Amino acid sequence: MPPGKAEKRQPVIEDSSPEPSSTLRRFGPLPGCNEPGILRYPWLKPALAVAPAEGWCCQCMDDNAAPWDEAVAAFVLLESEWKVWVHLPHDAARRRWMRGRVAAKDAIRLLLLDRYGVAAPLETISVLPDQRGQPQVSCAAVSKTGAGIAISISHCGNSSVALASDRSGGCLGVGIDVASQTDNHDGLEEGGFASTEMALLHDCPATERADWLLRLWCAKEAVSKALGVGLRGNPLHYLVRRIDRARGTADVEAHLETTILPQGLVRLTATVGCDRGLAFAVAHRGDSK
Amino acid sequence: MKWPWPGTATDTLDSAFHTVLASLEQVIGKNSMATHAPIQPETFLGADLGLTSIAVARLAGILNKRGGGKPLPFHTLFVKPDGSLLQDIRVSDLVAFLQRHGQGETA
Repeated sequence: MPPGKAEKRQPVIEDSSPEPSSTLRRFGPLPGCNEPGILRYPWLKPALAVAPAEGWCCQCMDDNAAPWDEAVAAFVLLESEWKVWVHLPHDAARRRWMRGRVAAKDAIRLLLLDRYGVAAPLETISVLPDQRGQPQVSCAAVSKTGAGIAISISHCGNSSVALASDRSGGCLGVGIDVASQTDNHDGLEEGGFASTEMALLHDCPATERADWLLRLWCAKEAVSKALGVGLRGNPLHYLVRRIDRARGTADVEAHLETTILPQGLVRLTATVGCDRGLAFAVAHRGDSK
Repeated sequence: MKWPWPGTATDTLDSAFHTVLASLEQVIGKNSMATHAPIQPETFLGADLGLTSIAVARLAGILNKRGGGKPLPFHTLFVKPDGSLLQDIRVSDLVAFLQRHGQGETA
């Protein structure tokens, strides 16, 4: 990220934490859809967490929105994406997938515009999962610039977020995960963590514990995405080894077979936080790791 | 809810199924459960119920608590015999797993 990058961004999007959503800068309506319940915002806090690489994060929500994904599909999806979307098993799955594509393409567009001065319409960007389920970006505008873009998508309730990062800054992969602070998370401690991980929260104030539990879960997910392999059915493949509550970081160790992760044991630091009613974590895999 | 395999229906099987249903209700929420099609043994946790990985972890935690015993290796449910991963599992897979581990009784 060039010096002064964060300052340069301030006029473009605002720090969201103290502001009601009505004051946030938002994108215009999606093509083919005037549904007022579709809200699309840039999200600064997670984007800054991938520094020194350059990243943009966007959120797409469909609060009280009538079905909208079919109306925008022709304007938002490439044919290869449409073939995936149309075969999803039910309406909720299709809408969630579409929300994720919109958030991802918004983040990629902002990154391309900001970094390379390239304007790329939604329907020229393809975001499709590879064999391991990791989303991959392809776009003619990206090819022309010689850029490579890493993308990560996360869903929570009626909200989807996506983080795009420029690979030319030494970024091999990014991961983002979000979880609702207001949902019931009963069972997560027993089903998602080892006792050694829970011990890290022994001195956490009771009022913050539930949020930290969510952040640590998100950290595991974000690291698994940054490594490009996912949780692989077992959250205990990823163990939180250290947390810094003041800095908002969690060190996560990945324990996977070398057939899955050739470098064996890997340790990444995730940036964690809470914003917009969501706990979030962002992990970034650089080329020095 | 009628178990669709009458020939194999036993108290343990029914009990495991109801344990899974009650746990899913805890994870998804009663209101959301009402919006889904009735949960059947062939219902997929991800594709049909929309369970994400955090929801599956919660489900495992709730079932462990209901079982009251040592943590069960729920992650093995997602591994095929050849070591590759399943992207999704059915309610019946979970029921059979609980039966294998003697966790059919609701706590």
